[in-house]
Amino acid sequence: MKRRSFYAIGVLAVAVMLVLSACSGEENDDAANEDEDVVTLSFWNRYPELRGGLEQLIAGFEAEHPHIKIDKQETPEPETQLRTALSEGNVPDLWTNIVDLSELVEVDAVKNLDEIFTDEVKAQFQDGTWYENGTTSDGSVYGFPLASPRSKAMIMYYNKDVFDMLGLTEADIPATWEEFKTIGQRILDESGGAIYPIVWNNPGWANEQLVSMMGTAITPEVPWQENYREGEPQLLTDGKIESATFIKELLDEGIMAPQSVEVGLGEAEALFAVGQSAFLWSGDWVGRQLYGENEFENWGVAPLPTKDGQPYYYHAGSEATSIRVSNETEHWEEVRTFLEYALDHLYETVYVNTGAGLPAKADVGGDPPFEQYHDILELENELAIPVPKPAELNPDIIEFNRAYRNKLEVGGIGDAVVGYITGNIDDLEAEIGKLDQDMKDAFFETLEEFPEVSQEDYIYPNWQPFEPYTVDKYDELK
Amino acid sequence: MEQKRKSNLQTLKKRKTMWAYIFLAPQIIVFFIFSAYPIVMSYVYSFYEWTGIGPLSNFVGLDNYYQLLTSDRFWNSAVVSIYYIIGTTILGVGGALVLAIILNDQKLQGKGFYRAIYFLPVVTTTAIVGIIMGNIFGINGFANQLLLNVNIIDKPIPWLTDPVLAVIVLIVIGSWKGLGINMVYWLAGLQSIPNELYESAQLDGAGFWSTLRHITLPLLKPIAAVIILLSLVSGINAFDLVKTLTDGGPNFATETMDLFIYNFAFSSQLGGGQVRMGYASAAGVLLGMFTFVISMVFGAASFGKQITKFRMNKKKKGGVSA
Repeated sequence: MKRRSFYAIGVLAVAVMLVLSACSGEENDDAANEDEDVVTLSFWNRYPELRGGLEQLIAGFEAEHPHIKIDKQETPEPETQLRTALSEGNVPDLWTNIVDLSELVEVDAVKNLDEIFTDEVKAQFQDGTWYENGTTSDGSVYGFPLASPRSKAMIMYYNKDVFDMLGLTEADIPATWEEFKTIGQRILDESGGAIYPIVWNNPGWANEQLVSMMGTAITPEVPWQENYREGEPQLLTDGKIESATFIKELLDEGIMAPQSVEVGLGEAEALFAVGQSAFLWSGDWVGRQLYGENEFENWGVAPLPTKDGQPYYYHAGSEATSIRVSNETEHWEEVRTFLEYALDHLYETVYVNTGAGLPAKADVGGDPPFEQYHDILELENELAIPVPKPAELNPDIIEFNRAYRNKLEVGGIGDAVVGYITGNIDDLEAEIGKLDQDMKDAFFETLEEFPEVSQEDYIYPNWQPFEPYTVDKYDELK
Repeated sequence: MEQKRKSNLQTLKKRKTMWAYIFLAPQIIVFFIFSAYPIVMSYVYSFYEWTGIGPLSNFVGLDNYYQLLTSDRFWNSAVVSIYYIIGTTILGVGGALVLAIILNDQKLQGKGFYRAIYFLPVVTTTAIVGIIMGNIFGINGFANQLLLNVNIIDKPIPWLTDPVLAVIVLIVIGSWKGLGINMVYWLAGLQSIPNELYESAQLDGAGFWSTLRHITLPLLKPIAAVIILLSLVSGINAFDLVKTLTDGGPNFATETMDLFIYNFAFSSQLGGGQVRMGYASAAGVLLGMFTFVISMVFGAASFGKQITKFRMNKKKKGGVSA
């Protein structure tokens, strides 16, 4: 009897389990069917200033296209993450630019976007948007442009709350280094040392950008790391050395906040926003960060101070901020739908409406969240100036540049500048001189290995510093 | 009959061997895929100029090694690594021994609590430790505020931007992080010493220091060699702490060998350089050799006598049986 009831309970339990699993199976099937109808695209973003805008864009897109979902992820170590994904064959459908375009094209990892960017569409973008190894390769488009090439020049933000508190006006905004030191001392005196005149940050790349930009007011013929008159790389210029010396003096004299040599961009922005400093030097995207992340609106913008108040500039198209598409994507149709939607909405939603920077597309509408946006736009147009890009005339230069830079221990002077500012390098000129010589040696040694490239490819006799180097100028040299 | 028994025995042995291989197989497969293959491939990559993606096409022979061995930055990273390894071993192992001796005292109350407290950093994520310590040792961090408030200093100390101080801070934090695990090793060693020895010593009138000198330390020698070796080898992996605390700065002054490898293998484009997987692999090979040499030298110095003694005993026994 006992045995029979045991079997009966067993059979009942199995039956109940079968029924339950059948029910849950139906539910799962329904869910699976629903999921099958929805295509999910993976999208990796590395630009913090675009986060909020991209989320709005994606929300709008998903509402209009319910069968496509965009799974956006932020990538704190973008290069490491993308390279790992490439080696594992697990690349996202879309990502914001990282890894040299020529390298990606070489291994067929990136999709040709010519069918989206017809000549008519390309014409809607700012001059200088389309360039080799940036947004195009061998004339074909491989990058969906995001930011304007005429952007990323450093400018000076000033805190109007601090100005009001200390009785300063816009007439007090310094244009020269001497004026900056004078006003800096006044800020220190009047605030009793509670407010630092300037807060800066420590990444090597930011320091290289700052001294290079300030340096162009003294040595305009070297906009970045090349001298287009001599046709050779040049890291050592009077402008860079004098600019680094000026920054060190600010730190040593207590005009620059001492934590500047330790903090990153985000912390510097936060210190500025809470009124711990009167000035902040940074890029065009910081307006959005101040307004959005730090909820601070009472600031203005001006050009960086230079040695004698002379103008400075930055090489336009320094970075091809763009979206790239995996050549292995299984959902090209959906990706194209998203890119076409982005073409119509991205620039307004992600850039203008959030103030995250200046869009690559010309004549974009939208409503900037802060009034200073137009001031930034004006400054960037003035400061980010197109300079020659040797790869435009000789595409072999892309491979050549990679080869000669592979011979270098250090890619730039940023770390040396940080070392000098923190007092770890006494003779900056000697240190940069060594890096300069290493770069020149690597350059000339590699020239011998590349018969298709010559020093002439780097000489631009029709280039004048501060004058935009436009397409017709290249044509003159052809 | 004899033959049948032998054949059964052989079948049994074969089966046993087969099962042994079956049980070993998963581990062997995992070892080959995740350890042996990457090691072999890093040797292969080191002979190529390669960015980590695409085919290996640009064979450069020993160029990467030549460039590394003539690079100031590489040698600087090697020196920083050596300072870190020696510093964390001296501080971490020495400090842990002192702690273990204190916490091994039978009369001490709340030993479990103290052991847990000292062990806590071991189970804390190193990257988080790095970030928190960055705040503590920053220019306006807790350490400087404290020293300023008690008037020991009149201006903040650049703990993380002065190369010497930054390396010292790294060593102190690295030692603190490994203190707990070394303490556990020492405690295991201390607890293996028979109590009778201490009781006899006490009866003979030995004090704390003479007991320590003549009983504790000599009997801890074998385990000391193991702890020091483990500390030396773990000191080579300082990546996460250095990356989050100083990121190798200022001007590569605190760049250790593992961070050097990472910087060339992955993160160079944003820093203005190029990704060079072949070059980084060559540095990895040299780091592997460096680790091997350290282990061998220390192993020979620590266990050499014991190994010789063991061999001689074996030889003697072999002679008797012959």
